[in-house]
Amino acid sequence: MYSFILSLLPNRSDAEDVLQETNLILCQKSKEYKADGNFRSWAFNIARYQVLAHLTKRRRSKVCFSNELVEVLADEELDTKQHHLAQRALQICYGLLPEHMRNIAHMRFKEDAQLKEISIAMKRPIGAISATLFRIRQNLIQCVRQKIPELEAKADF
Amino acid sequence: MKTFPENKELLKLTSKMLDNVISDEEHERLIGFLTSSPSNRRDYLDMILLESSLHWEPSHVDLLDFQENKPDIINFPFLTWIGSAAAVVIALFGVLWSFTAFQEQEENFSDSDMQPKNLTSYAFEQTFSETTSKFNYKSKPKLAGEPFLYPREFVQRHAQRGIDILLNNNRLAEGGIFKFHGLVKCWNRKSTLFKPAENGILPASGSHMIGFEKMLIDVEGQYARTEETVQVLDVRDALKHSSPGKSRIFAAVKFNQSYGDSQAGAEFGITLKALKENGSSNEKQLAKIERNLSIDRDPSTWNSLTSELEIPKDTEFIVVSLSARKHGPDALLANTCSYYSDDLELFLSFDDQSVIGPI
Repeated sequence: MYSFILSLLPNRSDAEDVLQETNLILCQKSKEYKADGNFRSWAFNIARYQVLAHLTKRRRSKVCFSNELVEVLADEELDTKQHHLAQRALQICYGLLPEHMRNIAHMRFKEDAQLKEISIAMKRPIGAISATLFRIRQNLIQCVRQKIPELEAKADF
Repeated sequence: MKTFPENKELLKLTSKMLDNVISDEEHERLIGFLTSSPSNRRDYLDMILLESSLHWEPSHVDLLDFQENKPDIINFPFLTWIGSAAAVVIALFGVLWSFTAFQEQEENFSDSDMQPKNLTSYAFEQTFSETTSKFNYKSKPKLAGEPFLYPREFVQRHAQRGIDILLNNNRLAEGGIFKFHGLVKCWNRKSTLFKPAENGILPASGSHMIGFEKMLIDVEGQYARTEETVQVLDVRDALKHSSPGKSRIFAAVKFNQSYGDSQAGAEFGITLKALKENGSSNEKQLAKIERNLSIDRDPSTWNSLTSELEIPKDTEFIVVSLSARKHGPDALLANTCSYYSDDLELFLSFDDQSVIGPI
């Protein structure tokens, strides 16, 4: 759910706010859900409307998409079939990051530090931190892509 | 995660957006990428999934985090050069001692230490010792969630070795016994797994029983498992003379465990796999059956389990493996007990008439 919302509202704090609101509504409307229905579609639909409502009410971040782009992105299906394998692969790949990258990854992803805070802690310019985070994400995606077929093969035998 | 974004700029812009350092002009370019192509949108969503996994599911990342506190450096207050020289001498003696002490130890388990390596060349390499024919679990990886893949990996390696031995008719291969049973050749590892009575467990029959290695425990997933490939059968010649669909393998085995701190008995299993080794040396699994049994905690009783598998027409090899596992909080105490198997018997029937066994 968070992935879905983050893809439409690429600002973490906004995405977390909307996630909270969506979860509240899901609880409130739980009696309306039909047991034989598609929970994912139902829940994601509610999340989509919450994202649009949030965009209408508050555009505090400059990083936001138009309603039309949100609709287009929301129609794309998140590939979660291999999510479990991807998580496993990510565990391996994260552990393979060089130490200096893991320092930064830890602060950004675990501690949710902003780039300015990381820049002060690491005594490096914000631009350099941003570039390193780009390389971290790039390395992780490459590595995960290579690892998934290996993990799939192992799981089958 | 399906594809790596070929469009590096899309990746860069998305990364900047997620870090809130994207400029207005870059933001417009990103929107342009996303509106122009479904493939760009797919790549973007793959990155969002990755970001979400890193950020929103910290339990997976937590266990991999480095130790932030570096160990204190101890400074000799004076005569530091004497301390350094002494350390060098001690280290040299240590290297000499370890070389002589382990010279005979054939076991080698190539480095699986999770030191950062080039991401694109990462490979978990293991070498197999001809003399011990056992993998050393000492260097097991530190990653939570990963360990319980390794018993399966070891089973695969043992199975492949058995297949190679049978293919090459290597009757003198160590780590097992090469036997003929009529038209069926068998590579049997039982003897390398045998243990005498121990931990309050007497063999079900005879003087020895199979002892499992310690379980590998996934602390986060609360899952523990150990598995051994016990026998590999070469049925190529036997199946040549039999009709398709009329060949079967039957297996019977017993399991037991010692006393320990765990609250429940383990779940034991026997797996029968029918494989075909094709020209490219990649195994192809034609059929598989896994039967499981949860046993009691009474070490005086052996619990029986049977299984059977119809052998598909193109089968070349049959791999027999035994496993023990635990789930839930009890998994964390898995290695306070020891796990055993005995009286494994295999019977092969061809054309519903001729029977080979017990193997």
